[in-house]
Order: sequence, then C-alpha cells, then structure tokens
Amino acid sequence: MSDLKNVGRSIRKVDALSIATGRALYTDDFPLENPLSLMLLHSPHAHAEIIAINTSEAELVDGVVDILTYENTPHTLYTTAGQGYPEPSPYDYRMFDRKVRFIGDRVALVAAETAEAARKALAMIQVKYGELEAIFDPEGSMEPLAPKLHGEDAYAPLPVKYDPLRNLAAEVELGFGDMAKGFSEADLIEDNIYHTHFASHCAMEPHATKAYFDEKGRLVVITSTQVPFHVRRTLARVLDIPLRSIRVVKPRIGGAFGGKQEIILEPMAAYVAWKHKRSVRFVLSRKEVFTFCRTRHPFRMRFRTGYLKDGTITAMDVDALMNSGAYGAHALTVLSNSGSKMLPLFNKIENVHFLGRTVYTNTPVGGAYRGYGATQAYFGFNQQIDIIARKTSQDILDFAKKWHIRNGETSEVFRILGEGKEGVEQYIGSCGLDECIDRGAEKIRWYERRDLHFSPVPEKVRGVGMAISMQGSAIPLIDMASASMKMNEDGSFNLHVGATDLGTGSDTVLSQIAAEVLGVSPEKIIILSSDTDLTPFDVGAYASSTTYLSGKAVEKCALNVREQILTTASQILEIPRDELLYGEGRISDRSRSTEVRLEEVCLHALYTKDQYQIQSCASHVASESPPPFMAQFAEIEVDTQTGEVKVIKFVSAVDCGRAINPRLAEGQVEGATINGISYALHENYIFSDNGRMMNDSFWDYKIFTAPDIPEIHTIIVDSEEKTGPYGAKSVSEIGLNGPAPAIANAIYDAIGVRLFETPFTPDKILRELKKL
Amino acid sequence: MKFDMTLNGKNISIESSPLRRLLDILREDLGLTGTKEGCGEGECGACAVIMDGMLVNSCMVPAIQLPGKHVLTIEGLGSPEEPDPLQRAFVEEGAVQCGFCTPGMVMASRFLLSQNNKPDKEQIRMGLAGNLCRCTGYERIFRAVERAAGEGYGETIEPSFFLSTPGSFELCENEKNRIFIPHSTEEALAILKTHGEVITLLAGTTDIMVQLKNGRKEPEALMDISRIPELSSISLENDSLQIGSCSTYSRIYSNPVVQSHFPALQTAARLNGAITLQNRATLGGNLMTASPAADMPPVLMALGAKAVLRSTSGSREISITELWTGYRTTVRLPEEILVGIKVPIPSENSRQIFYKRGSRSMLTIARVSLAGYIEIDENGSILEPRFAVGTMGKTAFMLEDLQNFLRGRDLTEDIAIKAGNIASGSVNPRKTPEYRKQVTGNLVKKFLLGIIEERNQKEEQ
Repeated sequence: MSDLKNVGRSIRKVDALSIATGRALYTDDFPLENPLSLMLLHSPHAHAEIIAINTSEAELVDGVVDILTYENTPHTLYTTAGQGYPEPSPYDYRMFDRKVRFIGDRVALVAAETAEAARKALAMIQVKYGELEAIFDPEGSMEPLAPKLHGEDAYAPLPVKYDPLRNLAAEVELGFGDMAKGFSEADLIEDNIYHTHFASHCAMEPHATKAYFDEKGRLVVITSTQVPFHVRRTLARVLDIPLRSIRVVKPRIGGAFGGKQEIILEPMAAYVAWKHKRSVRFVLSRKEVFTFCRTRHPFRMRFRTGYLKDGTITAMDVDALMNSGAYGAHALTVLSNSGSKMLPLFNKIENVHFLGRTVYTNTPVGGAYRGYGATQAYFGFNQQIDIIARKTSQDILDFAKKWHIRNGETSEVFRILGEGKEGVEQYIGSCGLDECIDRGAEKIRWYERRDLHFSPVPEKVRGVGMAISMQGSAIPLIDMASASMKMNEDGSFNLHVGATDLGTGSDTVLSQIAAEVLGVSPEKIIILSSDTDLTPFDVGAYASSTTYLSGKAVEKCALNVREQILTTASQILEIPRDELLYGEGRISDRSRSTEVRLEEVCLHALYTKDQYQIQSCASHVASESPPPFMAQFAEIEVDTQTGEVKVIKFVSAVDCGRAINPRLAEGQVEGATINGISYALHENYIFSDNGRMMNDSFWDYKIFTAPDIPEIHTIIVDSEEKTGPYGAKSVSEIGLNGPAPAIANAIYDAIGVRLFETPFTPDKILRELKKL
Repeated sequence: MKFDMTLNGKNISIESSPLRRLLDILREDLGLTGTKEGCGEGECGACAVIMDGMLVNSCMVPAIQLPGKHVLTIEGLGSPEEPDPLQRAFVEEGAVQCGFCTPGMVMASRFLLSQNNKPDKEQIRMGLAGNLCRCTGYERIFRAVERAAGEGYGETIEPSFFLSTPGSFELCENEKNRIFIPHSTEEALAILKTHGEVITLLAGTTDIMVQLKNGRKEPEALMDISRIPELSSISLENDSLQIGSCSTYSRIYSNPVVQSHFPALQTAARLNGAITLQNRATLGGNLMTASPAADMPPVLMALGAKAVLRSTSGSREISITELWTGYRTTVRLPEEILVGIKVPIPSENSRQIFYKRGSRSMLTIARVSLAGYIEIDENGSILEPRFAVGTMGKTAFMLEDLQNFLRGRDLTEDIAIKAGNIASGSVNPRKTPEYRKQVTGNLVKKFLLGIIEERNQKEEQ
C-alpha cells in the first residue's frame, strides 16, 4: 500500500489555522442576543432530603426570570451517561431531585438577565435540608445497614443486574475453566489488593451549553459534547418535546476525554430556553467541573493469581469493586471494561474468574474517562505480573511475551462479556505487541538499567519499569457511524459526518480517508461534523471508535461516490467503466491518452445529460473490536530524602494498526501518556471528613505543566488491521493505561517499595521506605 | 468609569465598572473571543494576553488598571489568511489539538521569545509553565516554539517596555468617592487618611480577582497603588536593598543586586507561580495578605529584613517578624501603606537557601517551605543562624531552637545531622505531620551538608 497519497501522511490538522489565530468558535464564543445566564445552587451536604425550598425572596431580585427546583421541573428518570439506546447505565437521575446525594449535587437553578443577578439570587434561595447519614466508603456500601442512596423507582433500562436497595449499581461476573483445580495445582498464590483514585478530566474548556430559537421556532442547542445525537434523543425524552424540534450543534470542543460523554447541562439549558422561549448561556466554573461533573471511577481490585514455580499461571481470580459515586453513570460499562479489556491480554490462562460490583456512595459521580476501566484494571494487572516474574526469576518482558494474546488467537472473554449483554467472538487479526516490547525496551535501555539501582547522587536512586495493555476499537455490533458526501463543480466534496471531533483531529483523519479514496488532496474535502440537522447519525466520540468506525463509514461512502464518478466518466469518455483508471484528480483510459478531470465529471453530471448529483451516504457497524496494543516504559528517580518521584524518561510503543496521520496518532499517545503520569504522581481528590472535595482548583489539583514533562518517546509500530479503514485501529485511550503501573514497577526496581495505591505521593514513598 | 487604551494597535474607548475583568471586556464587550477562560483563577493561562509588553492573565486584570495600557491579543497577531509566523509554527508542528489553550500558549511563547530570542528547552518549559494543556503532552508545543525561534521570530518583536503614561480616565458620579488611582505615595497617603478604614488596596490583584470570582462582595472603596513609581522601585542604599512593595516578582528576580546577593530571594520569586503570576504579583501583596503559605515571609525572615510602613504622620521601620499578628492579619494601620522592605546585604561568609517542596508538582497539603541563612566566621563557627518555615502554622515562624543550637558551634557533619533532627522537632503541622516534619529536617540537613561539602572542596583545591 505504499502508493497511498494521503493516508499515512502527517498533514496539517484541518482546523489548526483557525484555532491558532483565535478565530475558531467554541460553545461560549457564539454570540447570542440577550441570553439568560444560568447558575446552579449546589448541595452543601453529602446526603440530605430537601424538606423545604423557598425561592420567593430570590425571585424578587431584579433580573431573575425563573428558578428551577424539583418542584417545577419534569420528573422523568434518565441517566446523564450519553450512550446508545437503551442505555446500559441505570435511570437514577432527574433534572432536579428532592434528595441530594453528594456535596456539589444540584439543588436549584437560577435563570436571570445577568450573571450578577443570578449570583445574587443564588445566595437568597433558602433551603431546609434534613441531613441523612452518608456513606463514603465503597467497601461498606452494600452492608445491610448502610444508608441507601436511591429508592425503588430507579431502574435499569436493560435486563441487567441492578439493585438500588443494596446500593448496587451494577454487577458483572464471568468465569471459565476450573478455579478450584487452578488454585490447587498452583505452587504459589500471589494475592494483592490494588486501589486507584478519583481524577478529573481537566479538559481546558469547562462544560458549556448555549441554546436559542431559530427563525422557524426550533430549539438550537450548541453544546460542548462528545455525543450530539444522544443529547438530542435524551432532551426529547426528558423534556417531552418532539425530537424534530431540536437541533444539536457541536462546535469546536476544548477537550473532553470522556467528561463530555455526559448530558449534564443540556436538559436544564434546553428546559429554560423552551419554557421561556429565550436564548440561554450556561457555562460552569472550574470548581463546578471538579465537584459537580464526572470523575474517574475509583476501583479496589483484588487479584489472586495461582502459578507454578516456572511462572506458569494456573488461575486468575479478580474481584473488582468500583465506586460509582452518587449516580450510576457508566456504572455497568466501565466495570465490564475493567474485565473485558484486561483479561483477554493473557488469553492463555485456562482458569479465570472475574466478579465486579459497582456501588453507590455519597461522593462525586464517576463517568467515562479515557481508558474507561482498563486504566484502573491495568494498574493491578501489570504489578501482579511484575511481581510474579520477579518471584519466578524471569524478565517481565519475556514473561509478558509468553502469555499475551497473538495474531489468530482469541479469548473466551470476548464472547462472554460485552456492554450490557453478551460479547462478540473475535480473533485477533493484528498484534504488534512483541515489537512494541522490543523497541520500547531498546529505547529505555532496559537491559542497561533494570535491577541496577543506579544512583547519580547519594540520595537519589533510579529504576525502570514496564507495563503492557490493550484497548478496543468501538463497541462491536452496537456502535454505528455514518457519513454522507456530495461532489461540487470544482472537484471538491462536502463530507458530512456524525463523528465528533473533540480536538482529537478526527475531522482531519476522516478527510484524509475520503481524499485517499477519491484521489484528491485533503483540501478538496470540506468536512462538517456533528450537527443533528445536517449530518447523519454517529454514536459519538467514545470507546476509541472514531477512526476505526467512522473512518470505515467514510471510506464506504467515498467508494460509492468514486463509483458514480467512474460511471459518469465512462459516459463522457465513452470507454467502458472497467477499462478506466482512477488517477489523481482525473479519470483516464488505461494508456492515459484520454482523460477527464474531476471538475468536468461533476459539471457533466450536474448540467449536461441525465443530470444528477454525485452523492452518497454510508453507515458502518463493526462486527469486532480489534484491540490496539501498547508497551510503556518508565525510567524514574526517587529522592529518598523527600520522597519525590521524578520520571526521567518515558517510552510508549503502540500498535494502532496503520496510523492514518502519524503525527496526530503520536499526539494522542503523548497526551494520554502525560495525563497518565500526572494521574500516577499528582492528581487526586482530597476530601474533608464530610465528603467535600478540598482541592477544587488548578491551584490545588495539580496537573502536569510544561516544566514537569519528562523526556518522552512515542514509537508507532506498524501493523495492518484488515477490518479497519486502510488498516487502522484505535489509538486515543490506550496511552493512559500504562503510566501508573510502569512507574510503580520502576519505583520497585529502584528502591524495593511496592505501591498498591495511586497516586505515588512523597509522603507515601517516605512512609514505605521507613518500613524497609 | 470611562478610559482609553490601545488594543491590538488601535486606540479604543472603554466604559466599564472598575473591577470588570479585562477578559470579559475582550470577550463580551469587544467580541474578541480568541482569548479563553479555562479557570478564572490565574492558574491555566488560557486567557493570557500581552499588556505593556508583559504576559498577564486577562482574568486577573481589572478595568481600573487599564487606562493607557497597550494590550495585544491573539487576534492582533495574524488571521487564518495571513497567520503570524508563530501561529504558523504551531500549526506546522502539530502543536494544536483541541486548541482551547492555544491562544494563551501562543501569547506566552511570544512573550518568551520577546525576552529571549533563542531559548533552550529548559527555558521554553519555564516560559510556558503557566499555560496548562491537557491534550498534547506539551512536546509539540516546545517544538513549535523552537521552530519559531529558529526562524528568528524573537528578533522581529519590539523590545518590551513599561508604559509610564498615566492614562486618562473619567469616573462616574457614584465612583468618585470610592475609586482612587493615585500617582504618588503622598497622594495615596492623603486618601488613606480620610478613607483608610474602608479602602481596599490593589496592586497585582492576583488574590482579589479570584476572591471576587468566588463570590466575595465588591469592596466599598478601592485604591490602585500600582501606578506609584516609588512603590515599584528597587534600589541599593546604605548596605541594604530597598524593595518597593509594588515590585513584581519578575522585577525582583531580574534585579542584578538580588541576583548577586540574594539567591534565596531570587529562588523564592522564581518559584512563585508561573510567568503570568510573576509579572503581576507583588512583594507587598504576598506579605500583606499574611497567608501562612506565602513564600516571601520565611525568606525575608531568614534574611533579617525590615518592613517600612508610612502614613501622613511619618514612617516606622519594624522587623519583618513583627509584621504579622496572626492568620491573615498584620500590624498595618488603616492609614498606612507598606512602602517596602529593607534587606541588609549579607556578609561574604554567609550562605542562604530557600527550599519549597510541593509547589508545582505535588498536592499543596503536603507543602513545605524553608528558608535558611547562616554566617560562618574564619574559625568555622556559626554566627547569625536564621531559619524560618512557611505553611506550617498560622504565620511563618522562625526555628528558634535550631538557631540556638547552631549559634557559636562549629559546622560539622554531626552537627548538621543533629540540626536536622531539631528542625524536625520544631515544626508541628496539622496535616501530613509526619511527612512534613521529616522533610523539614532533611532540608535543613541538606543545606548544612552542602556548605560542608563546598568547604571541603575548597580545601582540596
């Protein structure tokens, strides 16, 4: 496929110039005429009934137009998780509720002519709360006497295990082989409990929604979302207004990482707009993003691994407990993913059992977050295999190579565990993990660093560690993407896709695929994404699906258009279709003696004879979800005096199939990697005793800044995934899986301290060092 | 209030309330939406613009400080049709992902290159320290800056300048008795004499703008003291360095005397936030907010500084240790201004240090700041040991036990280790006590052992 002209090239991002010059419009940049300002009142209690809420004084504030509470808004149950239909997440959420379930939960919303009026009114709303006992610890959440968060009315739209009266938001269990046999055969059992913590997505653009009415009286919602079509569907249902009256527009998005796969602001904004026939502006503060929006679900994961003295694994038993926080957004699917994206990686283990439970607590709400359960699971998994490799005197690199899934192989887990239903059987068609391991090891100088405790100055010690992982590419037989396209007289093409570019570059990647099929330069592709009036459906940007799934829809669509071009060219040139050559911007006979340019083909089709519009549309559903693979390596330095851990060098080697745009693919890996390192070392939610997040600003919630960045290397290992567009798989999420375990393994390599809990803060390191 | 300013090279007239943020004036009043709001607390840099040649966060700049200012925003650089070479470098290097941070990042890069034509990698990292990006992992942004630097972008920028023009403005009727913009200390003191009880002083505004964002009520009356030349001056007089209270961190650490004689002070100024903050935050602000987590108090305590307070009835000089009376309270009287501080030039046989742990890279509750100063006489014994810590009490405080232990002793390894243990025992922070006690001791030990090693190396030579 070396004759590719567009695919595989690092072309400029199609929207980069308008962004870099400050012209690109994000949600809050759209001018609206006299919008109402919307502002939320948040709960000061972790768990309480609202006994009385008095808004009469607040309503008297000059400029206040409306105040929404549970008393005057629809009571429809829904989930904020923007997923397919019916949603796999429980319906346990209302626009407003008479009960509040975490500090920061919504209580009331003020709509006012100005932000100042709204702020003033907020302070004047009087709420009488009846405090309830709160539960913060997921371990105790299912105890019979534990306070219950949700009543009998909450329900799961899919036939899945859901029991709000036990605080059980989801449960998944799977197994195969014979566990008793597996453990009885084992010489040794490695039994450890791993904890991962809360984290915020920290997209630089806070959540924002604007709404207005067009000249036809239809409601237009401009919103910072990953899932515009799910937003439209949910709005119609929750507000009980016709879906045809709603248009959802996704503008430029200032990052999302899963945090905007949530339908949080839109129902409130649309409700006020619809009720008052006014335009509205609803933009959250950074503090609200931290405390009111979604987080990475914390996990407690117990791994019991039975193995022989030679390292042969005889059984793997995983018990996962996931903290969903106050509501069940993605409660089932993140949990499922922690098994289904991890267990198949070591597909040669014969006896496997996985039990996962998601429970409610009175803490901030978990949600989709880049990595989606796999990140949490691989933290324990990779330390577990590091421990076993060391105890059986093997290099973890060799150990990983021996056990990981390979080309042509499958795993029982693929078949058993899907999202809210059974999975889909699949055989691996591309796996470059061995090469990822080898090339990554070379770059980090594994064999010159491992087990050496190299100490550049007396109080500092270095070490190296490694982690492997896999992810998926879209949800098989569930996710659908589509594209439509038409041709213009200058040989350009309008490409309309439901796919949702969040800043990832999918508009660019999809343009490259279309350009490749149609033999034009990418500038000839005019892409428009995610406008529910103008573009066809797409589930949205999640589950690492866009390049693989939407890319295939674009490829199919472009192939249809190409076929029409050939048909028309055949009429013009009077040469049979089969004897035509499709070249760069032109169609010719085989000898290239007669030809017709694309512009002429379109002119002919539009104006000359048997006129028609060259156009097409196509949809794509994948029957499998080919995993990308990754090996990540950390070299770290521990300061034994202060407990600080510094990452010196970090290498990520990824097999993402063919990279349609290598530079954008590298950018995805680099961004995910740095997010992962930052998560491993710094980021955390710190709570007061009554459940309040104490560090709800960038001042106190530290994400990596430019000076913190270690030397990073990204290696793209070529492979060819036959089911993907031009051989591509996904790349966006996987880079977050490895940093925490690779760094943990490196810390052990340096100082012999094993950290079972993220993040690796200096106080923990010093505490553990003292124990040695 | 009404005033004129220059925006992207054009003179414009603005009407605004005095505390309205430059960010809102740009986005809402003028429709320039390239400047973004990511946090509104000066921590993310998405709203960074260049004002009078300096990089600032526009969410931190109130209208009261804008008269006569020159502001450059992302829209003033180039357009999609004709991008500025720096904007083009961002595009070519793939430094743009979601792009929400990009306008601020471009402005920060431009400021960096205006100060330093050919920055190395480390200088680029530091120059962009105040601009958060969650998408790219920064690496490609570094390359974009390197590319622009390589193309000679920095040389094309006019050198930065400080405007001395006062800038004309007109107050509304209801502002006349509560908004004050004096241009001399005398003028300011006269205003304070009558309105001192109700006036809030503004200079760097890095604290108050955050508080207003978080719902603090607007103060009854305001006085902007950032335009008083005396308060921003740094000068050497009678063996002590006098630093005006409105001196910004960036002016402090770039001062030659600070660089040659006060490495601890220079470190503290440099470690305080990122460039955008250092270009705004003032010494006086850091001292007078009286936060126990502030960096300047422990440094100035260790350096033996004095504070100079003045009112219309005269001046008084007090030891810096007497400036604070408790959590966020000071001895300043309503009619007084902190004019500045005086720091004695240290003896040649002295060593000083400022350590901060947990500033950027870690959670703030595990924060430790320590400043140390010792003089050693020709016989090797310690004179004048001064150690102070921040973040571990209601105010910064000196480690008296440690000082008493060290005074008059010979500095040996054994003494250094004992000193570390004493330091550990002298602090008792409420949160993460074990960790912070241990680190305090380790840092004292590290400072003293470093001096011994330096001495040994000299002797070997």
